[in-house]
Amino acid sequence: MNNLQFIKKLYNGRNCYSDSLTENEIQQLHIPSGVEAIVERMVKENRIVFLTGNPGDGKTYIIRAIEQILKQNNVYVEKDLNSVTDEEMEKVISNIFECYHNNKSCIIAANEFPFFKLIRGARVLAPELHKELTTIKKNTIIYGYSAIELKRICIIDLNERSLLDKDRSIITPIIEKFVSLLKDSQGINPVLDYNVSAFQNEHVVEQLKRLFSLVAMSGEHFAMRDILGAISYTITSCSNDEEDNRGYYYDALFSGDNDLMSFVSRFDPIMLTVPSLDEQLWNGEKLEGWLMGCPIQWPYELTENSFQDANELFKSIKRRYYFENIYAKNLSDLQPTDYIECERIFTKLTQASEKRQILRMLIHSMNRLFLSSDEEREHLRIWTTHSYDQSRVAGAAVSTRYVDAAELELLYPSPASWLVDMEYSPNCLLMRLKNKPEVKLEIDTTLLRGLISIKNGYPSSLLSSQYELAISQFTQQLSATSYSKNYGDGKIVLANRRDGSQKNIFIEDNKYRFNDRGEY
Amino acid sequence: MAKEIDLLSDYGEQICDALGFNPTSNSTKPLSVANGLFRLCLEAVCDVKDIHEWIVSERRINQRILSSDEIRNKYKDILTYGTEESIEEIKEARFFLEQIFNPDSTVYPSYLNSVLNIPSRWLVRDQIPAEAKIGDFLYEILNAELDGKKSVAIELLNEALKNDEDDISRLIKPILTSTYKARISNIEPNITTIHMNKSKLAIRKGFDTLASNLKYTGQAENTLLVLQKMINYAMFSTYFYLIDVNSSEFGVTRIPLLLDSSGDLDAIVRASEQCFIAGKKSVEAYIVNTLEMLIQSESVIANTNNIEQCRSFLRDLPLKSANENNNAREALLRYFDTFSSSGEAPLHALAHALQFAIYTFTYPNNTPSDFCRVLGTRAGLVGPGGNATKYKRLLINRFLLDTIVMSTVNMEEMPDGIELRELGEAMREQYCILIGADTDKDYSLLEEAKIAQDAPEDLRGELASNARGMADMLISLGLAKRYADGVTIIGWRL
Repeated sequence: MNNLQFIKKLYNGRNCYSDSLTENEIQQLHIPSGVEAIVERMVKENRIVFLTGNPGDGKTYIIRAIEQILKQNNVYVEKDLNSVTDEEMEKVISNIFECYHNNKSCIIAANEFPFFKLIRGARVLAPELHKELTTIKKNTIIYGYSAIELKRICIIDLNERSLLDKDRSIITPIIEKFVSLLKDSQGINPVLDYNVSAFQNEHVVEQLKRLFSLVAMSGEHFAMRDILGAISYTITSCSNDEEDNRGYYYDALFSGDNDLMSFVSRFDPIMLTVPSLDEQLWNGEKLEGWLMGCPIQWPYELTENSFQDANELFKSIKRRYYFENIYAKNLSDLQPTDYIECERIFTKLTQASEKRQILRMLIHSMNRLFLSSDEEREHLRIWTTHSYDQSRVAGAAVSTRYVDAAELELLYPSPASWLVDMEYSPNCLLMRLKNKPEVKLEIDTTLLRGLISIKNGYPSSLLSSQYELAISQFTQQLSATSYSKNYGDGKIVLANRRDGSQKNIFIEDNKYRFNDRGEY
Repeated sequence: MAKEIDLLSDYGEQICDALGFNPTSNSTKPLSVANGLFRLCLEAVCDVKDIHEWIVSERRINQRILSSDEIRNKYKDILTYGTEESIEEIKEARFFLEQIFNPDSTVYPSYLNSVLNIPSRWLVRDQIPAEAKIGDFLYEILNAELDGKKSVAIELLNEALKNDEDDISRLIKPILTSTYKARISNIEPNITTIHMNKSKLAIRKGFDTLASNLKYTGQAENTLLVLQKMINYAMFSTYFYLIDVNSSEFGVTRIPLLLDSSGDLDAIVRASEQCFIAGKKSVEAYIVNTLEMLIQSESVIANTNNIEQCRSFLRDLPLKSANENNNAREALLRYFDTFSSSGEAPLHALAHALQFAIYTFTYPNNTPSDFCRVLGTRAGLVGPGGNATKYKRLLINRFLLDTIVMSTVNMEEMPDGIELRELGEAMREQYCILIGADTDKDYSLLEEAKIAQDAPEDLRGELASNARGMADMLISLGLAKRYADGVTIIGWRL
C-alpha cells in the first residue's frame, strides 16, 4: 500500500483502527502528543494507569506507541476493556488490585462505559481501589488549586483532550505529516498536487484552523479518528473515482460525512453573505488577493448554458476565496457571532480585566433571560417564577434579592497537575461564589452561546427552557447564602416577561409604596 | 319540591366514587389540585378574599372588581402614602400582581371559584368545585399507612407550605400581616380507609421516591420548587391512574405510555398518538366495567345474560324529567340494541349504553377521556398544545420528565448511577412508560397493545433513537451523563 492509499483509508476505513496498523504504519502516522510522555512517566513511577476516552481517541494507539517501554517495565496491560466480558471483569479487577498492592504498574485502556462498569465492580470487590479511583476521577479536571495528590492511581481521560483548539491544535502536525507522506504521490493527480501545495500555504492552514476552532465551540467531542479522517478526505478525495465533488480541498471539506465534517459544514463559507462580494465573485471582478492564483472561470460565464453549473462554480469559488484570498478575513468575521464570541471568551479569560468584563456580560444576559429590557450588569438578580401549569410559560417574575458581581468569580477548568502536558483547552466556564465555591454554575459552550445570543438581543422565549432551568437552579442556590442581599428600601422588582416591562414595588414597615421617586 | 330520582346521575356519581375523584370538568387545573392537596396536608385553610380583591386588576371590566380608587381607600392603612398614593401606580402594581398570582388563569372576578397562585400556606383556601376531589384522592393515598408509615411527601409539603419567606409570599406580606390569625381556620380531613390497588401503590411509591430525592439532592431547600414538583407529579399521577385503573381493578393488560422525545420520528409519533388514544379508551372501558359491576351487585336484573331483561331494565330506569324530555331513554335503548347486535354480551351492552348516556346527558360537556387530555396537557405530558392540533400524543416536557425520573429511582441508592436501560425498566414496571431503552421489550408491549402494527415504517429502529432523545433531555437536566458508544448513565451529579 502506498502512502496515498494509506492516508485515504484513514477516512472511514480500516486504517482508522490502530489495531489494524503495522509497526511501520504506527511510526508513519505518529503525531507527537503530550499524553505519551505522561503515560511513560506514570508507568516508570509504577502507577496504576487508566487510559480512558471515547472510541477513536487513540488509547490503543498510545499503548502501541510505547509498547517497548511497557515490555521493559513488565507492565500488566489491558488493551481494551471493551472486549472483557462481565464474567471476566472480576479477574481484571483482581489483577489491577494485585498490582495496586504490589507496587507494580499496570495500564488499562477503556472506553468510558466499560470504565464505569469497572468502577462499579470495584465498589464491592476492591473498596480501597474504588475509593481512590472515584476520588481521582472527580479531580482530573480542577478549578483553581487541586487538593488531591496522586497516590497509586492515575486516570488519563482522553475525552478531555482538546484537539481542535486554535492554539493547541493538532491540525498543523497532521497536515504536515500528510503533506510529507504525499510527496511520493506527486504527479499522479493535478488536483491532489494542488491540495498538497495549498496545505503548505500558511494562510490556508490558518483559515482551516480557525474553522476547526469554531467547531470546537459546538461542545461536541471529536476523536483523533474523526480528525484524521476529515483531513484525509479533504486532501485525497480527488483521487476517489466515485466522489462527485471535483476534489479540491475547499469543496471536499464540506462534502464528507463523518461526524466532524457534518459539524464543519455548519460553517461553510457559502452561507456567509456579503452581497457586493458575492456579486464580484459571480461576475469575475474579484481579481486581487488570490494566493494560489486567480480562478480561470467565473460563474457568469456559465449562466447561458446551465444556471445550476454556474451556481455550483460560485459556491466553489466562494469557498476558495475563503481559504486562499488574503482579504477573506472579513468573510470569516461573518461566521455565527455566538460561536466567534464564545471562542473569544475562552481565549481572553486569562486576563483579570477581561474576566471582569465577561462576568458582567454574563450577569447582564442572565438577568435578561427574565427581563429582556434589563440593563443591570453589576448585580445578578435572583429571579423567581412560580406556576403549576406546564402548558403555560410563567409570564411574570419577581426579584427581591441579588448577588453583587464582586462576590462572584469566573474560572477556567484546568487539568490536574499530573496532566499538565496533555493538550487541553477549557470547554466550559465556572461561575461561582468566591467565598462559597460549592455554589457554582457550570457554563458549557451551549449555555455560553445561549447567553451570548441573549446579549445580542435574541429573545429568551425562543431559547430552550434548559437555560432558564440551569440559571434558576444556580440563583436559587445563591439566594440561600448570606451573600445574597435585599435591594434597598424594601424594593421588589416585578418583570413582565412578555413585553419586557418592569415595575418596582417597595415594602417597608409592612406598607406598600409603588413609586421610588418620592413624587407625592 | 322532592328531588327527582335519576339513575343516570346516580351511576355517574357511583363511578366517581369508585374512581375516587370526579373527572367531569375541564376547569380542573393544577392549581385546583394543589389547593385540595395542600389544604388536606395542612389541615387548615385561609381566607384570601382581600388578596383576591387586590390582584383582580382593572384590566377586566366587571362590576365585582374593586377599582384602584376603592382599593386605596379600603387599604389605606397598608399604603405608605395612604390615600395620597397615586391611583395610576396602584393600578399598574395590581396589573403586575395579577400576573404573579394568576399565572394559570384560575382567578376570576368571582371569589367563589378562584384559586390564587400558591407559594405558601397563606394562599390555600377552602374547597372549590374545580378541585374535582383530586386532592382528596391523592391525600388518601399519601395518608394510608404502609409498613406503619404515612408518606414522607406529607411532611415535606407541610414544611414547604409553612415557609413564607419566598419572593412570592413576600409580595403580599402587608396584606397578610394585620390579620394573620383571623384568616386561618383549621379543618379536619374526612379520612377514609382506602383500598390500595396496584396503580395507587405505584403513585404512593412515586410520591415517596420524589420526596426522598428532593431531600437528597438538596432541592427541598427551594420550597417553591418542592410545591411545583409535587403538583406536577400529582397531575401526572392522576392521569396515570385514569389510564391504569382498568388494569389494576379488572386485570386487563396495562396500556403502554410511549413517550415521544422529539417529534421528528414518524413511527414514534404515530405509536405515541395511538398510546394516547388507547389511554382514553382504557378510561371508557373502566367505566363500562365499573357499571357492569354495579349492576351486578344491585341484583335488579335476574338474569344479566338475558337481552330482554336488560332491555326491560332500561325501559323502567328512573330518569329525571329533563332527561326524559331529551329522549334519553330512547337513546339508551338504541345504544343497547346497537351494542347487543354487534355481539356484545347483554350485560356489557347495557353498561356500555349507560356509559354513553351518562356522558351524553349527565355530563354533556366533559367526558373522562377529554379530562385525560386536559390533565395530561397541564401536566406537561400531552402535546402539542393548542386546539389546532388534531392528534395529540405523549410529548413529554423536560420538567415532567425530571419529575417522573425522580419519582421512579432513588438517587441516594445509586451513587454510581444506573444505565438508561435500567431506568427504562423501572419506568416500565412502575407506570408502563416506554422510552425505547429496551427495544425488544418496549416493542413487544406495543405489539401486545396492538399499537406497533399501526405504526408506520421502522418503529423498532426508531425506539432506539427515541431513547437517545430522552437521554439528551436527561443530560440537559443534569440527571444523566453519556459515555462512549452512546451509553447513558442516570444519576445525580455523576
